[in-house]
Order: sequence, then C-alpha cells, then structure tokens
Amino acid sequence: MTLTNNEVATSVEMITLTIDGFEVAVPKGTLIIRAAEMLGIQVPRFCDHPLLDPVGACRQCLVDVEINGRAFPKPQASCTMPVENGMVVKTQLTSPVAAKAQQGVMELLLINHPLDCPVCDKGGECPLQNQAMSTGRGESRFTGVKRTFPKPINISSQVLLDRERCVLCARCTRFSDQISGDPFITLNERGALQQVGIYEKEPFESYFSGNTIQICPVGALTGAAYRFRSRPFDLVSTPSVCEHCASGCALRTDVRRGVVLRRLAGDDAEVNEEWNCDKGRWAFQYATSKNRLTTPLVRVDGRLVPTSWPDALATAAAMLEGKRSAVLTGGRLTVEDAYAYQKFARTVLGTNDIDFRARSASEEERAFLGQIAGTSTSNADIDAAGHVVLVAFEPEEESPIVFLRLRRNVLSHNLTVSTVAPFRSAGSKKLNATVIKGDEIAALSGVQLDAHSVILVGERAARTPGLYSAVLEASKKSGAKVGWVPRRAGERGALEAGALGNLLPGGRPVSDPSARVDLASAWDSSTLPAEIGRTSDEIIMAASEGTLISLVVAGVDIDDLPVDARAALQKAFVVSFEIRESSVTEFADVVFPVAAVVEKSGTFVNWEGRARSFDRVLDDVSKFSDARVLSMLAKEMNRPLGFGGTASAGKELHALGPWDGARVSAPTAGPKSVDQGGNAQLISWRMLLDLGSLQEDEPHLAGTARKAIARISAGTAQKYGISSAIKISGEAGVITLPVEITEMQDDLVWVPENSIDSQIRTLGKSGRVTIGAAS
Amino acid sequence: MSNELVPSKDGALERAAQESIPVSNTGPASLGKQSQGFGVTFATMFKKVNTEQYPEEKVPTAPRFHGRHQLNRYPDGLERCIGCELCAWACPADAIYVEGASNTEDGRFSPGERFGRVYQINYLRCIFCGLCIEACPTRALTMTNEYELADDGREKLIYEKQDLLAPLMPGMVAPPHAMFPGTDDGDYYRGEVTTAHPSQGEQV
Amino acid sequence: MNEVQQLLGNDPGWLTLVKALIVFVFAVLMTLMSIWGERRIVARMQMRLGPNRTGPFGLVQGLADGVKLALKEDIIPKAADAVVFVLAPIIAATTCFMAFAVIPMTGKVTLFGHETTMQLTDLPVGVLYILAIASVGVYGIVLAGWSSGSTYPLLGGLRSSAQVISYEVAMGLSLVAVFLYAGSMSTSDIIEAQNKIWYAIVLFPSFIIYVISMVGETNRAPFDLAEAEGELVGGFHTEYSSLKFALFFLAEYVNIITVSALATTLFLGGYHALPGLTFTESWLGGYFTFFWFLAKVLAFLFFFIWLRGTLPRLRYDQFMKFGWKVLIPASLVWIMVVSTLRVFSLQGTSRAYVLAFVVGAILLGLGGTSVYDRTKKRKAGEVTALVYEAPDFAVPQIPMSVSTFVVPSAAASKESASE
Repeated sequence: MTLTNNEVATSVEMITLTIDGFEVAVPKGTLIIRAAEMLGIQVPRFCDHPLLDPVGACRQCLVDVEINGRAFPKPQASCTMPVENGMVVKTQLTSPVAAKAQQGVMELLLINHPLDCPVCDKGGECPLQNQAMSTGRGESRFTGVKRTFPKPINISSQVLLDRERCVLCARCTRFSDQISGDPFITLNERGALQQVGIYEKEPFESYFSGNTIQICPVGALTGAAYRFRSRPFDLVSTPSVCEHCASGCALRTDVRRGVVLRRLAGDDAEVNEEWNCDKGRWAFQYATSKNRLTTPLVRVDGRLVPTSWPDALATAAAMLEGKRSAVLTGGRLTVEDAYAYQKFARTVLGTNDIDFRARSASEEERAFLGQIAGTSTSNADIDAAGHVVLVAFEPEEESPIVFLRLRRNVLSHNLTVSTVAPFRSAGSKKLNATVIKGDEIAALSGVQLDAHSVILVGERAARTPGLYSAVLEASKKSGAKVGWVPRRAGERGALEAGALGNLLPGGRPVSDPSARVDLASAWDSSTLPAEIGRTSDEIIMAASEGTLISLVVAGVDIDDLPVDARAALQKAFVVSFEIRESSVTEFADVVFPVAAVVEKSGTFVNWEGRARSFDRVLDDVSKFSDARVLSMLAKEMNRPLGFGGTASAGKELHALGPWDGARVSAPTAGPKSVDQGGNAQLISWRMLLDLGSLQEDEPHLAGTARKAIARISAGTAQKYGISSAIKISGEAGVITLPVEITEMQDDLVWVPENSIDSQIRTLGKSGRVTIGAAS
Repeated sequence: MSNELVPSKDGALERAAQESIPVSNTGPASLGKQSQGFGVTFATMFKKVNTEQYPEEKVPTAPRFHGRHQLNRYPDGLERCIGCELCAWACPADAIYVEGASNTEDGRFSPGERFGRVYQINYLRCIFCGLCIEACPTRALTMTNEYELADDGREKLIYEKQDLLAPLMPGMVAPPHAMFPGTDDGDYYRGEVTTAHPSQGEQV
Repeated sequence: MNEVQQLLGNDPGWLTLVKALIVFVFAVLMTLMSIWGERRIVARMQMRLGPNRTGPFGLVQGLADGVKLALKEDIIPKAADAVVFVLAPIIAATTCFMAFAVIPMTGKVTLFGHETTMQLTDLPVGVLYILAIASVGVYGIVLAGWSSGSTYPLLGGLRSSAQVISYEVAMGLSLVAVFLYAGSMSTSDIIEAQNKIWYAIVLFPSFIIYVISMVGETNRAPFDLAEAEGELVGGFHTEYSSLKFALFFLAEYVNIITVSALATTLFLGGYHALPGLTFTESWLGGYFTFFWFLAKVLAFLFFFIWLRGTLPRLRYDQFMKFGWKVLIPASLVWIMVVSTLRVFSLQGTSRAYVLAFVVGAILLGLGGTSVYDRTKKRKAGEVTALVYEAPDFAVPQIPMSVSTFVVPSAAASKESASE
C-alpha cells in the first residue's frame, strides 16, 4: 500500500531497526506502525490508515522509542514517525510504559463514548471494541456525565452521523479532503464539543461518501441502507466484483439468509485500493425488486403468460429457426455470457448481426474497438504517466475509481490532466485539469503528448465522427497509450468475447478468412458467416423495416438505444433474456428469466483489459445464467453450443487464446450528421447516480444524486433572456430545469442525460433543441 | 501465589514423586463386605421412591427455573428489546433469530433508536442454558417457569415475537406509542419510568 | 420304576395332553410374571417404580411388550441364512419348554378323576434328560449368531455359547453329588430322598456351585456380558426383530424358570413343605404342594433379580476364568469328598475315620488357601516400587497452591497503575 510501482522500480534504501526485540529491515520512509505490522505486531490505532496521510490525531498508537541509546521522554505516536537506523521500538507487548499510555488514551476516548454497542451497527466489527478489549483497561475511573449530542443526524440521505460515538480520528475528513476531494465534512468546535459537521444546507453528497462509513473506526458514520439490518456474525461474506462501471472494483458482498445486505469495497491495490463509489456500494437492490421474473413468459393473445421452460424454449426456437435474426446483448454481460451470445448468433442463428452497444454507437467505433481488443492499458500506466488526456470522458461520473486514481497521481506525482470537454466539471476541478473546449478533434491535435502520456477516451467519442480516428492518430504519432473507458462493466468483456458485428472473440476480424477458419475449427462447425454484421442502430432499422424478423435481446434499456426502437421491437419477434420486467419485456414475445450477477459466477473485464473473476454469492439453483439458457435454446434448435454454463463457456473462451494475426483495419470517420433546427446544440452525459435501471429500489442512494441543472454560457443566457430556469424543447417533449451559468461555448446547453426532471429521451433523438426562459 | 508452571528445580520433584503413594489393599473385598451390597439393594426396596407421577402430580419448579423465554416490557408498555442480537450471538445452539429495525415517530416500539422487529426462538434447538438471558443488556429476555412446551410440528415450535412477549399488564399502553414525555432511553434503562402517561395512549 | 413312574405310566393319553398344556401355560405365565417382577423389583432396588401405567401396577406391561414385538416388522438380513435364521429361535424356545416335562410341581393329586402328579413324565434319567436338553438349547444361540450373517451376532453367539457350555459343565458336576446321595437321576426319586433333610443343607457346597453356575448358564447378571448392549450391540440376537426376538426373550426367561425349578427340585425338596409344616402337604387335595413349589421357585427368581440389581457385570475373561479355574476344580474336589463320605457311610465306617477325614480335608483346604493368599500378597508387594521419571517440560509444583487466578499483565498494570 505504501509501495507503488514507482517506488519498487527504483532501488530502495533500507533501514534496520528493532521492534520488540525483533530486528527488521524496512524501506526508508516507512512509518513505525507499518514496520510493526510487517512483523505481525498490531499497534492499536484509530486515525492511522495506510492510504491516508498520517495525522496523529487519536494518540492511541503510542510506543516507546529510543534512538541511538537516547530514549524519548514520552511515548511517541508510531503512525507519524518514520523509521531511523538503530531505532529501538517497544510496543505495548514489551513496554509497560507504552501499555499504560495506550490504556490511558483508550480510557480517555471511552469517557465520552456512549454505551451504544447493543444498538450500534459497528458492534462486532468495531476496532474500538476490539482494541479496548486487547489493549484497554478493564475499568474506567470516570464518574461524571458523558457529553451528548442529538443523534443520529443525516448528513446525506445515505450517511448517518452519530456525533457521540465519534473518536475524532479525522479519517472521514481526511478522506474527503485528500482522496475524493469533496470537503463536505469537517471537524468543528474544540474540546469535548468537537464534532464532525457539514456545511449548512450542503449535505454530504460526495460520490465517495460510502468510503467514510467503511473507514470510520467506530459507529459514528453508518449507512442508512444497512442500518440495523444485521450483525457481522450473521453475514456470509463473499469476494465479488462490481457490475456497474468499467473499473471492476473488488467488492465484498455480505449476505444474510440469502439476501444481499451490503457491499463493502475490497482491497485491491492495483485497481481500486480500498475504495469504491457509492453506486457500486449501494446499488444492488435491483436483483430483488418486486417485478423480478421467476418463470419464463410467452405472449399469448397479447398478454405475457407464465409458462414452463420446455414450452418457452420451443416457442423461442420456432421464432428463431430459419429466420433472419440479430442479437442485442447490452453492456452488462459477463464475458462468459457474452461469449455464449456471440457463439449462439454465429453458429445457431448463422449471422454476425450482434452488437453490445446499447448507446450512441458508430461504425468507426467498431473499427477502433478492433484495435483495442486484446490490448491493455492499465492503472500502472496512469501511475507512470506524466500527462493524461481525457477525451469525451468524465471520470467522476463515468468511472469513479479512475477519477480517484487520477486524483491521487495529480496530488502525489504531479500528473497533469487535460480534458477535452465543453466546460469545467466538478471532477475536472478536483483534478486541476486543463479544459480544452471547442471542436474535439482540433482540441486533441493541439494537446502535447509524448510516450509517457495516456489518452483515456470514453464511449461518447462515438457521438463525434472522426474522434476515435484522431485518438488513434495522436497515439501513433506520439507513442502515448490509449485506454478506452466505457460506462458499463460488461462492454470490454463483450468486446473481448467478440459480441460485435465485425469482430470474433479475441479481436479476430470477421473479414479475415483465416480467423474464421481458426474459429470454425475450434468450434467444430463447418463455416462461420462471413458478412460483417450490422451495428445496433442498423439492427433496429432493419427490424423496423422487416428485413430482420427476430431479435434476441439481453439486458438493454430501450431508451438507451440510439434510435427509437419501439417500432422495431413491436414488429419483430423478440426473445428477451431479462432479470425483471422492463421496457423490452413489454414488447417481447418470449421472456427468459436469467440470473443476476450475485446468482452466477463469471468474469468481468474492466477497462484495462484485466479479468475480474467472481464466484456466485447466492446459491439459488433456480436461476440460470444467460449462457445456460442459451445452451438450452441451442440444444432445442439442434445446434448445441458445446458448453452448458458459464464455467465451461469461460474455459472454451480461454482455450481459444489471443489472436496474433492482422487486426481490423483502422477506423475511418463516418459522415458528420448535422441536425437542423432549434437554436442550441444539446450536449449531455450520464451522471453517476441517476435514473439508471440498476439503481432502482434504493431511495437512500437516489437521495444523494446531484440535482439536475442545465448549463449554458453567460452569452447564451443573455441572448435568450434566461435567468434562473431554462425551458428546453425538443421534437418530442420539454424539460424545465434550474440554470447555472458556466464558462462554455455559446449556443450549447448541457443537461444530465438521465436524471430526475432531465431525461433527454423525452426530447426526442435529435441533437438540436430550442431553449428559452422558463417562468 | 498463582498457578504458575515452573520447571522442576534440583530434583525436588523427582524425590517427592518417588516416595511411593501408599495404596491400601489391592484385591477383592472380603465376602462379608461384598454381602453388604446385597443388603443395600434389599433395603432400598423399602425406601420411598423418587419417581414423580407426572402428569397427575406436577412438582413445582425452582424459582430460577430455565423455562420458556419471555420478552419483557417497561411499565408503560414499551418493549425492552432493542433488537441488538446479543442473545442470538450468545446462543450456543443458534436457536435465536433477530432482525432489528429503526423506531420511527409513529412506529415506536421501544425507547431509543432500535427495536426488535423480528424475534424468533426455535425451541427445537434451544438447550435452555440461559446464556441469552445473561447476554441481554436491557433485561428484555428472561426465562419463565413454563416447561410444558411439547408440540407435534416443527413450525409450531418456532416461537415468534408475539408468542414470547410478556402480556400487557394493567396500566400499560400497547405499543406503538411515543416515549413518556420528557424522557429518553437512558431514563427508561435506569428504571425512572414507572407508569404510562395519558398522552401515550389508552391504557390496558 | 418307582411309585410316581407307575402312577404316571397309567395316565391316559388325553390327560398327558392336558398336563402338557398346563405345564406350557404355567411356563408362559411364569415368564410374564417374572418379566413383570424383574422390572418392578429391580426398579424398587433402584429407588424408583417400575412400569405402572399399563394395567394396574403395570401388570399388563409384559403382555403389551409381547404384542408389540409380534406386531413389529420382521426383518431377515440379506446375508443371513434364512432357514437357520428362523430355526434358531425355535430351537432355543422349544428346548426350554421341554425341560419342564420332568419337573414335579405337586405331590399326588387328582385331576379329572385320575390320580396323578403334576409332572408330565418321569424318566429314570430325568435330570440327565434335562442336561441333554439344555445342551441342545445352546444350539439355538450358536445358530442364531452364525446365521445372522453379521459380525456382532457371530461374536456374541460364540461368546454366549462358550459361556453357557462352560457353566453347564460346572452345573453338571455339582449335580453329581446329588446323584450320589439320592442314588438315582429321576426327579421324583430325588425329591423323595429329601424327605428328611434338604440337600441344600447337606450338600451346601454343591448348592452354592449350582446356584452360581445356573446364573452363568442363563446369561444373567453378573454374567451377562455377551448381551450387554454396550459390548456387542445385542449379542447373538442383534439382527432379530419381531416374533423371533420375542421367542429369544421368552426362551431366556423360561430358561431362568427351568433352572430355578431344577434347583428347587434338586436342592430344596421340590414340592415338600418346610420341615415342620409337612401337614400342609395334604391341603386342597394335595394341590397345596404346588404353592410350596411355587414359593421356592419365586425365591430363586427373586434371587436372580436381586443379583442383577446389586452386582456389577463381570468381564468375559473374568467369569470364564472363574468358571473353569474355580468352579470346576472346586466341584471336582467336592465330588471326591462326597464320594469318599458316601463310601464311608455305605460301608459303615467308624465315626472316627469319618471325623479324621473331614478334619483333614478342612485343614488341607485352609492351608491351601493361606498359601494362595500369601503368594498373592507377595506378588502384589513386588509391584509397589514405582520409578517416576519427571518429564522435560514444566510440571505443576507439588504440592500445588490454588488461589485466585490473576492475569499477569493485568497484575502488572494494576501495580503500575497504583504507583
């Protein structure tokens, strides 16, 4: 944790010291408390955290220190003192002075600490409890009255603060200040009345507030979603992986009696260290929502009727057999499931019409992704970079852990961040980023890049034709690395699995006959379709025209699709694989219930290309993974897939191996579509916490979402007489929002893409809108 | 003076052990002594038997008998149980299942922040050891003297909260209701609330 | 042919059948009663009531158990030899009933107008017949153990049968003295010979040896290791269920009654009244003797139950050793003494020689036992010198002082805190 790749690369100076009689050599700059941990000696502590700067606030980690024969007159805080040569440290195990000092500090901390253990959520996993038992006194000498505060208070809809329990370790304030950059909480007042407080009327709405709950050593900061639900001994913990964004954070999922109660951030120094974002922490209630599907459904007389598996499989097989079909997988699949879908499309349906992009997509992006597949740009590259350029990518909203890593490097390694964006967002502010406004391609060409640079391009680059090509150009010219950071966890994995019209698994191009032969032989099938498949909007267009008869649709939200898909879904036969009733099942003819991420094992590939495997958390054998249902359907259609479930699918994909042949040819910019009409160009992107379907049924989390506001420049506001609220009218609807004047180009209006009061799907699909003042 | 383990010093231990411990009289007892055993059994035939003729005679139990559990209340009717799960934690047989929940303004079941929303004791697992009683911080859980719990179905022997709650005595108000005006949970814990206030609701 | 034999020889066939039925019913009723008695009496000896719910005083308990056993599922293990498996309990049960044929239960009585005794038949070698039947009864055990096709019954059967035949030898030898004195092996003759004095008094050692070996023969406590559940599950009857098990159960109890009845007949004068109360023998038309017989059998039954309630179980090797190394040699020695005395009495030797012989025998016995005791003491004395080697690791101080246990670090902190 203190060692990063940078420090390991250079030779490290080692210091020898003695702790409790054991001689040990540690790198220079190691704190005494860390050195003791390396020996297995736990010095009690509250404020110390390996990822936060040392502060010495709680004074619990006192040890006896002696340098060169001269003992310090008082015990020292081991969390703030780095090691020295010849230092002799005695912890509470060998020094009665240190033991007594620690007991004294513990006694002082417990003076005002309320007797809340039976009602406190931290009970059972509380460092204060554990350390009071291990290094505290048995009895207190305090006979006064404890100071009280009204409690608990909500400092956001998700985080509850109990000021009586706070031991003033300042971990939460230091985290908010140093790591997440959201200084919404501070320590106020002094003495016994010192307390954690928020700015008045500014709730603790940081995207990382959940981490303060996890690092708080007492029950002062607790989560409202988990409040009183369980005790640690009731929980069965399983390591898992976040299914939301493409960072692939390691998580620990806690289950009580078959119900997921909470998810904590897992420790993975290379990906997310010990942090995760609020969405990954709390947005998991979708799997147990009321409209969860439990049986297959078949549409009879216009209504969806529950039926048996054989019946549903037979009906679906009849709909797909011999008919021109396409597959829309969505970006939420595990690698194994995506592999199953693309194999199903190619061997059973005989088509390359498969696309995982349920969002603005382009042909150019497919070619770009063909270059990306199989490559890896990792967090270590960001750590080693001197300059990172963000293109069409808002890290705080789209991939928060990347944001945290960028911020850490900005603060510690003088990383410079430039972002090609229309205005300076909150995240950009926290990264001290240079914002390059205006035409993105031109902006990119003007940025200084070298071999130590990293370009992080987001999925919104598909909205600007030519941007992906420009990124590749810039990277080739300067030697900078390119990282593609999509918004969803399953997109990179679907890319690696070949769930694209122009790509086979591992980056093999469809157009390359040797690749097709290679795959066909591995799959024991005669030939694979050679015609490059359609993109997602082409698929939908073809379905609405009638060229495509059937559609296989996995986890897709209709309104995310770039074109209006309702007519297409209405016309075509739709076989839907869904967790619960959704906008797609409204049009589906056969619905198969599939397992949520907690109910199956699998692998997500994060934006780096790193495989993140996880085991099933809930043992519910009635839930089948997508791969399993597809294999049943393939068997029904007499073209078995050759595997029965996720484990065997994963093995098969792994056995295919990477492709070392020629890649897909470089992308060419498509035509620039210029929308007409209106008086302003609408730009938007998705906020981290919004009306996304995986965040349903969690009102506490939704309460911390950032309020939707519209941003326009001062010039635009003046031109149209907009002062406090703006009315945005599109072809299909109207949005009214409060306005914030932002330094940006004129005639642009930015709104959140899918937040409360701000769903641009209601405006229609055009990028041009008419803005005006709202009363 | 402590039970310290010390290594033996200068052979004192060996010397002490080698003085052989006198064993008195190895070998069978005399015939006379053995016949005394017969006398014992014969005489026992005429002693009063220990058998209790249950169910005709039910011998009363001791005052602190470990019987069925009871969830107690405060004198104003609020439940003592705060849903802390310490009893479930202490139970060696995993017989107790507790789910806590927050007290709200209009749904207050116990003083303080937390109450036991779900409380189950599985009497097929319970070994009546009383560790849960010892663990309870508010004296919510105690044991009655009722031992006639036999039943013929598994579900019937999982007692829910309503089966275990102490009955409402006269003067109590059935929860949910507010705390005694002007008090907090500390006052309840210290026993300073002895009656129900008219504002809390209708008394039983 | 003695008087009784002549009397019984004149029995019409139907009367024999009736008597057979009476004997059978008597045996079964006695079994039920002994089961009830055992459970209630052993319970009382353990300061508790026995069964008292089925019927008044639990009298119906035995019947209830029998009915329950009859209604249970009849299981024949797959590895069992089915024919022998079914045959074994039948052998065991029938042989013990057969032994009752020669036991005289009353003196001369009139039954349905015929003068007869309640003895099914009388053979000149009646007791030999009983011994023979008992030997055949061992087959029941051995075959049961073997045919179960399972290890525990096999081992249990072998053990039980070994025990039974060992104690049978001792039993037979103890009866030799009775034959010598009575001059006949017929049960009625032996009873007649006990007119003056019971053989239990005259042949007291034989009586003791017989009583011990009858307990060992019937697999009863304290010699019941082969049946103890903690040892070999159920012994030879592990695999048996339902009626076949009930038959073994029945056979065991009838065996007990048989050997008690035999003891009564051979040592306690059978149906004769206590000396001094011989006038009661003619009451109820001679049927009162049956109560004397019954009383003596019940006394033995009580003795069996008393033994069971009092003594701990002997280990198998302990009681086999006892049977072979103590009982049989003692029997043999006693037989030699008895035969010598008998020869003296038959030849009319002078009192002096008899007295000298008896005193000499007693002195020899005392001397032998004292030598035996002294060797045992010497052997025991050699064992006391124990060599105790202290181990390398730390051991508690001897003598230990036990006081309030104080945690060392807490003690240290208390001291430092109080400074």
